[in-house]
Amino acid sequence: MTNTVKSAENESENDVSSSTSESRSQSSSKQRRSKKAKRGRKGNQNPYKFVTYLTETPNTQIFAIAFNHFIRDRDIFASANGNKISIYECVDADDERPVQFLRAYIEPDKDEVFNCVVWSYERLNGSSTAGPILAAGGVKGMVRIVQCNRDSMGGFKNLLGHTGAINDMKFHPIHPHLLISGSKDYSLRLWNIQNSTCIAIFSGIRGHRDEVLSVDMSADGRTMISGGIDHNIMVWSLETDELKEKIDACSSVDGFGRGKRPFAAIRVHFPEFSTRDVHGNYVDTVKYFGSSFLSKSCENNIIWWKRKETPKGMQVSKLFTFDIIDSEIWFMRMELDLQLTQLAVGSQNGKVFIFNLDTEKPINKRITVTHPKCTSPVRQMSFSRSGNILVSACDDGTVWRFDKK
Amino acid sequence: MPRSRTSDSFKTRKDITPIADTDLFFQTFEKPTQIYRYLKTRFISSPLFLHRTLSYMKGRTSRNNKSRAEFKVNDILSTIQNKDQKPNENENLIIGFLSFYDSHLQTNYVKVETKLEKISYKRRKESAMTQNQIRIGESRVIVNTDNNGTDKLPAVCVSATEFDRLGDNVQTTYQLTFDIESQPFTGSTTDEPSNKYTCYSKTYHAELPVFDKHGRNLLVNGLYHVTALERHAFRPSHMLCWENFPSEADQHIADWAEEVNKYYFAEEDSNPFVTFDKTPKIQLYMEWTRSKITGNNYIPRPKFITDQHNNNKENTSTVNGTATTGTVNGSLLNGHDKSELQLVEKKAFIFQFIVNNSTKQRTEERSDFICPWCSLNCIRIYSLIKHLKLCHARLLFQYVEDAGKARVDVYLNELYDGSYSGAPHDILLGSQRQNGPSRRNVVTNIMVFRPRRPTFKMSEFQEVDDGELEQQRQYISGHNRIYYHSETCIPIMPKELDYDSEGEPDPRWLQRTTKQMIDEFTDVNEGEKELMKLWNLHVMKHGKSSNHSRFVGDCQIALACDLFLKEKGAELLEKNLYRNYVVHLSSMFNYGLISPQTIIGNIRRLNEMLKDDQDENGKLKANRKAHVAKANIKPVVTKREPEKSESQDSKESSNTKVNPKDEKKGGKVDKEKATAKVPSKHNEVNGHTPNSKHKGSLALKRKLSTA
Repeated sequence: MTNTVKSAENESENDVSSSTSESRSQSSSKQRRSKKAKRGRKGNQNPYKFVTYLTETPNTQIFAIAFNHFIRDRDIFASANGNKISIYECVDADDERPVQFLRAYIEPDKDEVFNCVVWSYERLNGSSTAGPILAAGGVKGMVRIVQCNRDSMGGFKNLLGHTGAINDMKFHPIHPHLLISGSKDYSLRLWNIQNSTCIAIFSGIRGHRDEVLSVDMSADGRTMISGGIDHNIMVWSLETDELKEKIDACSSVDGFGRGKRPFAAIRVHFPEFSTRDVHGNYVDTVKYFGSSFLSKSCENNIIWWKRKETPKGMQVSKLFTFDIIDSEIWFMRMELDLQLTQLAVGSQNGKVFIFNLDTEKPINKRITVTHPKCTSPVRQMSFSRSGNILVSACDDGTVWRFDKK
Repeated sequence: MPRSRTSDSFKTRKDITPIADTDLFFQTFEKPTQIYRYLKTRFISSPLFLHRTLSYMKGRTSRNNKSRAEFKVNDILSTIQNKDQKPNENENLIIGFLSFYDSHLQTNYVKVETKLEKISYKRRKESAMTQNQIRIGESRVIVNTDNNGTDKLPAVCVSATEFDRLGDNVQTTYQLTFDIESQPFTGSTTDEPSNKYTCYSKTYHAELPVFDKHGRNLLVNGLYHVTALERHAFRPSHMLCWENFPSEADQHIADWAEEVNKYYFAEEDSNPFVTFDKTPKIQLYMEWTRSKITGNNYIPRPKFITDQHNNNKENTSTVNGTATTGTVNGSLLNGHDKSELQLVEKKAFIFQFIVNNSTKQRTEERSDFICPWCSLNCIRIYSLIKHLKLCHARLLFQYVEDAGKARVDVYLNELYDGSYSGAPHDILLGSQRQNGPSRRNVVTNIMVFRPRRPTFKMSEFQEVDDGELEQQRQYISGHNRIYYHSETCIPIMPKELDYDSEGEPDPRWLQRTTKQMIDEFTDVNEGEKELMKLWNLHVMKHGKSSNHSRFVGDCQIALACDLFLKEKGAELLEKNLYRNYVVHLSSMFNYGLISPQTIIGNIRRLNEMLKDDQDENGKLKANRKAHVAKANIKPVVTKREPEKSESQDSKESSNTKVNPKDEKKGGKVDKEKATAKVPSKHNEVNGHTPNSKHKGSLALKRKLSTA
């Protein structure tokens, strides 16, 4: 299968591609299924239990769903459905309504389709408390920063600059005002959301040569990794002298570029490391895993790999491959929980596979979490802060909640 | 909308108002009215600006900045200290009598006797109260005229000692009572109609509380109108404190008015304010001061600040707030001097709404200058119309004075496009108004603009309005849109407009990739690569926009060569690229880019540079040898020339171009002189610090020579 189709674009084509993939992987998946069934009986454990599901209106594809990990005692998540971002709270599973709708932000532009939502927080001026904020990006190429606990949940800052759809975003793990976004315009941008300035653009002669699909930041915030349609995975350093100086200088201007001197974004053309050896197809999720990486393409597997110093320079050394099935369309995100003990990935027929990473050696044993009614591709899922709740978002506009037993 | 309108055209049609026309009226004015109503509420909650600061709203400013001239920092402290001091402690109350009003009274003066009433009662038994009256004084007060002309007021003084508290457990209220006795009228009153209220001698009574039983002061400095009722109509007070009024205070006023009417006017009019206007009242001026009255019971008439903004939200002080609503015992207090409130233009006017050249609706005559859309009291007609024109641009206004009657015509502004005329950055970057004011973006800067303020005259509103504001100042145009940096697609901020982001200086990434790509060649040797890097970056640097010597054509190659030697000559020799450069020159000659003269000139220049420094000269050979030994360089190859000729050429050049004598000399010098001296001299001449490569080569050379 040379090229898979993002099912958003063409339903019929998607059908074709999925059917071909099924026909290709039918035998193997059957085998696996039987194996898995055996294992399931032996281990007798599926730690996740279905709690509830809800259908969003309009029930179009939900590309993004994310728990807010900054709130300690409540499990609040946001899901983006077209131009609408809804915020829900997961309450006790025995409650009449285990997932409760809190509020929503609707983009005025009806054509907007949000591809990603990420949470951060901001200090409210003059107080010691912090308010949650939400960054959302979509096909319009504009990042909307939304304050969630204001009286009216309006967009209060926009980040302008991307010329194509925004596919993925991440906040800096240490500085909550630094945001990195990856876009269809082949570039990544680093933003300071306090004054809506773009600090750096990561693209150019040695940058991505097609859409950037996924970004992630290392836990110390010194490097970041990006993957894209060009099969490339790139590691970028945020610690170069030039960048450090820029990051320091960016707070000297306000939102209208007023400062002692005008502030101009710098362009970073050269990644620290770049490889096409990990995947032979669209790389739709990349994740830091300590100093190593987990990445996923639409090749029915997740690869755990690291960089290795060789006489010829940095080389990729693959450490392990997690096998999954029925996940051959692209733009299917895998997700880790906050403690990095569970790895979840969706399939195109409504299943969520979970791997346990809390073992000495990686075990290629996937747990399937699903529900008979859940049959459409699971684009993204998210673990709660404790890792006990899993929510997943599907293409038919449904949001599913599973709880750990 | 046709602008040619005569006053006749709507006069003829104003009576015809069928239902369809009414609908049309509503259709036309509904939308702007709704919008302005919304804006009004938004303005109240978070104002954009203060109306009183506008030049045409002079009437709304109550402050003057006179005190600023002699302001000192220490004044703040003293002001605060004055505030902190317990008010009215040891202060005498001076009561000045302005005049007494009773339209039925025909005398010129009345006698006013002022008494202070103390009512004290024990805390537990409120019924058992003791009451005693102290006489303060008597004054002769003018009747029914405003004593503007006089500069003295009859006055009495209640000394501070009278208000002394008897003890903590005793609660005392103090109230002033005024007994007004009209003197018998001396003029001919016999021809008066048989008005039953006209009598020759009348006594009135008025009361005004000073301290309530909790010791709170109820009077502030200012002007008071106190209703005085005739003795027989007076209702003794039950309520001594208006703060404790139940919420139906209005009901109380109405009750009171009714009662007064019953006793006094025997009329059905129950509007308390009308009643207040008609009731006899005494006008008092109260002042708390530490000084006493000097002179025989007269004080100089104080100047009253004309309080022109009755409904002013911004300036309403607490004094007005309480005084206008509170009544005590039949005394309505008002802090305003009503007679001075009305200004010159007191003329009543109407609003006339016009749709399609015909009058649709008219308002009743009104003499208040309150904007119907934002309930803003503009104080005078000029301010009102100016406000309407400037703040309600969706509508057009025209002031018409017709047969002594004023009228404001209102039409819909069909030219109004509702487009956003502020800075676009405010919208795009999401600087929406949050809670409280935020700094906005400035697109243009006015350093100083002091236009001649036009004199305010009504004639400016009488022309037909075309919906365009006349501008005195030329605004900078073209900045009400947003521009983007072409490379980064980030909006260009107003501050950055002066900087050229489109310039193409040779960027570092390009230099880096150029070097990288040259390094990746496999069919050229290291020396060639170095020269290619030097030359290509040189041409790149000057090929782009730089102020001087821009290389754009073949004819400039000679110039480029000269500049190259000037800028990179030393580096060239240091990297031992003499021969590579000569080959480069000859290949350029082969392509017909440079003339033989240029080659000769360049080589001569290089040789001069070599000669200039003997060490350099000596090092050339050493470096060359070391380089060759180390890298095992193949003979210099270019793609165009066959290998043979190239190698010959290089041999030749090595033999001919470098002066053998010099070489030998250099060699000798190197051999004979102590090695330590070499680098020092090198430093002096070249200004370069010898790098490790040279050191290495020198050492190698030494080895070779010793061997």
